[in-house]
Amino acid sequence: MSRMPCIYDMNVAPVLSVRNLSVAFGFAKGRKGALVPRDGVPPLQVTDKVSFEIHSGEFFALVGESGCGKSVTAMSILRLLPQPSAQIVNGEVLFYEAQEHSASKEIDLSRLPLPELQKYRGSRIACIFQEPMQALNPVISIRKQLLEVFRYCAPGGKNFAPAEALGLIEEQLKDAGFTDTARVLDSYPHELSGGMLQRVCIVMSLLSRPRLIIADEPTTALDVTVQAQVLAVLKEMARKSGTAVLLITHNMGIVSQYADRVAVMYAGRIIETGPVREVINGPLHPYTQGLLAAIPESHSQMKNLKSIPGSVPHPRDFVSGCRFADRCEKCMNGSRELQAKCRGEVPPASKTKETGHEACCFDL
Amino acid sequence: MKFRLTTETKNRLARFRKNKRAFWSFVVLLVVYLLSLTSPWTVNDKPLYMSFNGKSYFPAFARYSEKDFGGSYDTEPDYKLLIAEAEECKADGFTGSNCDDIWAIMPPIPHDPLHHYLDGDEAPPCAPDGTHWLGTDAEGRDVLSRLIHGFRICISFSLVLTLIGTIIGIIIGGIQGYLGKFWDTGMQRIIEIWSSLPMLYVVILIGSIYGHSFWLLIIVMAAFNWISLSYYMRAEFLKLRNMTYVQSAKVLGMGHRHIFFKEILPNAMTPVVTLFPFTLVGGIGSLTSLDYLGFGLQPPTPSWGELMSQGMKHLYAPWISVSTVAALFVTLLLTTFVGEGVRDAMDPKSGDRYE
Repeated sequence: MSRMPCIYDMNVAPVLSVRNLSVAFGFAKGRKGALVPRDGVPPLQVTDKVSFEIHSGEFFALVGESGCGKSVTAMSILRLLPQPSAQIVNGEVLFYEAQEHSASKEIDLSRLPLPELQKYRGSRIACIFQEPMQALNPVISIRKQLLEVFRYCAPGGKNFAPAEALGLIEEQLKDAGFTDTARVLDSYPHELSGGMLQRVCIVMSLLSRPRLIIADEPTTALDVTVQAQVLAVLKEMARKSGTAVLLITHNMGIVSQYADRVAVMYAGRIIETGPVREVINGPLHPYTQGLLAAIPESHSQMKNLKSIPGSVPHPRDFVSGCRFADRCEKCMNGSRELQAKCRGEVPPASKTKETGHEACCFDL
Repeated sequence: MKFRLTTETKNRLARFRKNKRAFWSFVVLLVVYLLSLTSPWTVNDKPLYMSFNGKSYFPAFARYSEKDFGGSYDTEPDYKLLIAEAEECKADGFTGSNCDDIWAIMPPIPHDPLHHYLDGDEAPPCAPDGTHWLGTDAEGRDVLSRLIHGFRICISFSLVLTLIGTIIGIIIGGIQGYLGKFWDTGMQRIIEIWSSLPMLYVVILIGSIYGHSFWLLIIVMAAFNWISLSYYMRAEFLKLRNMTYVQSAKVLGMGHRHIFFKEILPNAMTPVVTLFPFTLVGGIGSLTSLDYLGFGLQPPTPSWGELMSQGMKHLYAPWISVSTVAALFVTLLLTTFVGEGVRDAMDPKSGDRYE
């Protein structure tokens, strides 16, 4: 499989542009349907002005520790947030609908009325979840579930005769590495393995020819041996149909192997973003450096794994300055002025290279 | 699309069939019930076929008046008497047009459950003999005929009752679990109040005002019958509505009805199927006990409870109580066997133990 060239060209049309997106938890419905803080406690802002852009056909990875807000960010794109507790309090999610012979149409998903938004869910932006076993209904055959999604989500899906639709589905299943498609179609979810189910889910998500697929840790629940296969299928099928992928993961190995670009999140903020090669080979932010140093190498003689001291702060302890400052060696060993700066201000994104590799740190 | 059984359903059916006791109980119950459904024609005192002076009649299936057979009233004739008179006439030596020429096929059990057979020498209840195989009750009615008709009515009653109760239970429990939150808690409190109403008093009260009809009794009893199932359905729906496939159907904007019936309900059928036979047993038991107390179906409807209370009053005529209790015992036992078989078939691990 040949690696696609790194795309960071402002001329390539974006599929999705998330701008200054902040999500807060802890709202409740007050009188007259107005949103008020639940129990009078101010809502916790778990993501802080997250911005990133995904380009057409790109494989974009969002990495970070558990609880850093990567899933919340991804789910807020389609507003799949628990209601009324979680709300988008700031920013916009711009989705670009491709149009022939003209500039792409810009739609702000964060402000779209719900019935309108539901037309985008599944058909323009599809999701793949962590647990394929739970994502499929155990009492309905794979054939019926795929057909249902095809009818409901695919453009013009209702106009297809079942036989025609099945033909298309079988083709996609073959692309996903299934040889005995008839048997797979006739089986029920419990008769297939986790890896097979996840590949069925990938086929299902691509049936509607979406512009973007959000894959929320698609291999976390799977056996290590099939993870590579599932991701390869996802990458290959997305490339074939020109679909962009937003992959959420905490596995740096997966990122380096499959992604074109990566954004690293820490405590609700994106702290570094750039083409995968550059971020892996030359991380700028101290957190990314620590994260990459923590990956054990097969030929190293180290007895203990390297680790970053301390732990991720809870959202209620989020500070306005750099949230990594307390764990940051550079900050700790830096001058008094630097320490004050780190703790006092939000480090701005510093564009350092033409490739778009940027990090949010005062001491680069 | 053609109807196909899922593999799991096939497995369950196979497991049920492997359980010999449950399977044969089911076959016996089914055959006996289907046979009893023919009892209005086969357990009756009207001939299945009667040739009267060369013309054909089917009295068991159609109504004829006495005038058709030379009588003077518009009422239905007593066919047994008609046949007996014709035979007597022939025995007396009359021939030709003086005697009616009758030839009839009587049903296998030629006794009407409501007819009082008082033409014997002794006062009823009469002990079993060649004519009345299980004897007659205190009013001279044939016990076997009443048992068979009672079985038909009792099982039909219980089936309809359980079916209605199951549907109500699914819908109410499902709505509770599906909506959750305030609806769940609110309806649960109302159900608790409702379930603390004593059913027997309500049946007596309603019965004394509106009379004891089959459908009224079903409605009143169904109003209490669904409660236990609704608890199970509520729990299942509460669990299943958080599954990813249900939530994705929701966020795609699928209708509530689709999610309720197509996504969740098929996954929640286990308690429905498992409870069905046991609710059926409960229905048979409650109808019999209501009839025994005299608050059930309107007399003289043939019923087991009424027969049992007669047996209690006439202990010197043991054929009444013994046959009724035996029939009830066997029916309940077989239904329970079926229920156990269904339960085990739905849960393959129920026989396993960790030691």
